[in-house]
Amino acid sequence: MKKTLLPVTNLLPCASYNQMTRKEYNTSVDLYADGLYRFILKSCNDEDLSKDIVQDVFMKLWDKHVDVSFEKVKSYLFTAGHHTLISSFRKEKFKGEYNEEKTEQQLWHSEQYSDLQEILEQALNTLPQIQKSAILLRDYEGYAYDEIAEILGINMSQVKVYIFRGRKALQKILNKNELINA
Amino acid sequence: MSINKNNYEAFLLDYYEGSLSENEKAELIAFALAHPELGIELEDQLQYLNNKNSQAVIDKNKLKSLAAPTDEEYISFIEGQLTQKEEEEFTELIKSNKTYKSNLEIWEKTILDKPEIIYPKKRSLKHYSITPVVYSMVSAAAIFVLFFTVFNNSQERQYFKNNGIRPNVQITNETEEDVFEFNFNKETNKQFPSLVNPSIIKAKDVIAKVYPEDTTNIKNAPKTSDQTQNDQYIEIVEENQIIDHSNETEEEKSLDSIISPKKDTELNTDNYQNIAQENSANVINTDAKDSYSVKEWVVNKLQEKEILDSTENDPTILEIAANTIGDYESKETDNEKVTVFKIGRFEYYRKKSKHL
Repeated sequence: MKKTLLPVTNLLPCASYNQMTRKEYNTSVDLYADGLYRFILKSCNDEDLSKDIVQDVFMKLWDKHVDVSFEKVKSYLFTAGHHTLISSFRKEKFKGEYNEEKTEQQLWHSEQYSDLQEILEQALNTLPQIQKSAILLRDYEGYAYDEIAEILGINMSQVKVYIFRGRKALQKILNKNELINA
Repeated sequence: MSINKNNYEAFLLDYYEGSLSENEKAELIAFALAHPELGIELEDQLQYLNNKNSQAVIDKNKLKSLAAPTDEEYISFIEGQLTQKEEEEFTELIKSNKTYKSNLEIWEKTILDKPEIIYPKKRSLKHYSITPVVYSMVSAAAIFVLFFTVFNNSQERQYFKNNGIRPNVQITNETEEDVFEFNFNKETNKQFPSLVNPSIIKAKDVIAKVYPEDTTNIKNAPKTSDQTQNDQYIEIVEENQIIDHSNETEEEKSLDSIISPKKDTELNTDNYQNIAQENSANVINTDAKDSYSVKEWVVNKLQEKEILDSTENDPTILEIAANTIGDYESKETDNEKVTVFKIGRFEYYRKKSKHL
């Protein structure tokens, strides 16, 4: 019986092809640490917590760098960051439910917001966490719907719905603000 | 409740059941006309459109307004989800109505600007490896630095020993009443860049270093009248003229040496003798003085530098010094008085503290 030699590559573990090198890991830090920190910080508005989460996520990444390829690292980082953030919220019994009445009350009775970004940030903080994350990933990081779906662990239709609802809520608040200033 | 692509089926059902109001019916017709791709066919569609007397089509503007861009269309537009054709149609529509335009502006504001946020401890996240190669490189570097330091130090010592010149030498007596700096540094600093900062050595050490050297050729030099006002002066002598202190005027004799006579005496200690004995092999002239005042030392060093630097074409340091001797500047502050004597290419500083 004729023996067929397998290519050498077949004998190597798959991980050896995809695993991230130390250099790639450090490049990931350079490329994505700022974006991840921005995403987490804007999601929770807590500087210390954000730094801890970023630190934690990169520690996890290094622990699993053998299993994570450099091509997938950005998605991994944001997914891990989002999950860590949600876990942290759960631990702190964070309430991120959108409450329209409360939102309006907050915004109508708050001090005059002259800066659009300030209004938007206030409005953003009134959105449910999932909507907020979807919009932040979309606007800050420029992710496509399918990438956001992967990061947030939901399907693409849900991403569209969350972004739609989130933007509508923001538009509603901005519209009211326009009416006030008019 | 406005009709959109997600809920129009419910309206269609109500339409066929006849439960829609006239307005709702008109809205549904408008929706069907605005979205031909949905293929909605209503019995009343043509009738409504053709019958100008119909109550439902009386207000065309109302019908048109019912076909205004939906929230979904606005969002799809700002999200870049429309096809090119849809986008063109939408843009046309927006241009046709100021309200649509202002609505779109508000929608566009819902897109967040990316803030400039930088993670502050990025370096701490990185991982650096120290490989055996790096270890060996570090070891090699450490050995090299150690060797260079020792070698360089001994080289410097040899240089000073041979030439009696120390760059940026700062001499201070023990009471720190006077500080003297000798900047023989222009060439030597290049040779020994490690001595950029002045080394502070005590007068004893300096005297010990110069002890073995010959001073018989130290000569008198004319001094300026201003020098007497500065307590000290530099003596530069002509060649082959022996210093004869007996010729000094009373005024000159009354001047303190740069190191006070008391300190000069203290320099002749056992310690000094020991050092001198160590250097005895280098003693050139057994008639060398036991100790020098700093001014003598300066002249001696100038002479040595002259020998080192002299060439056939260049004027000697002493020749230069002869034309420049006596140039000096004094600066006085609350704490100290600093006098700078310029001798040829070299400067001699004297600092005197006022509060000690």
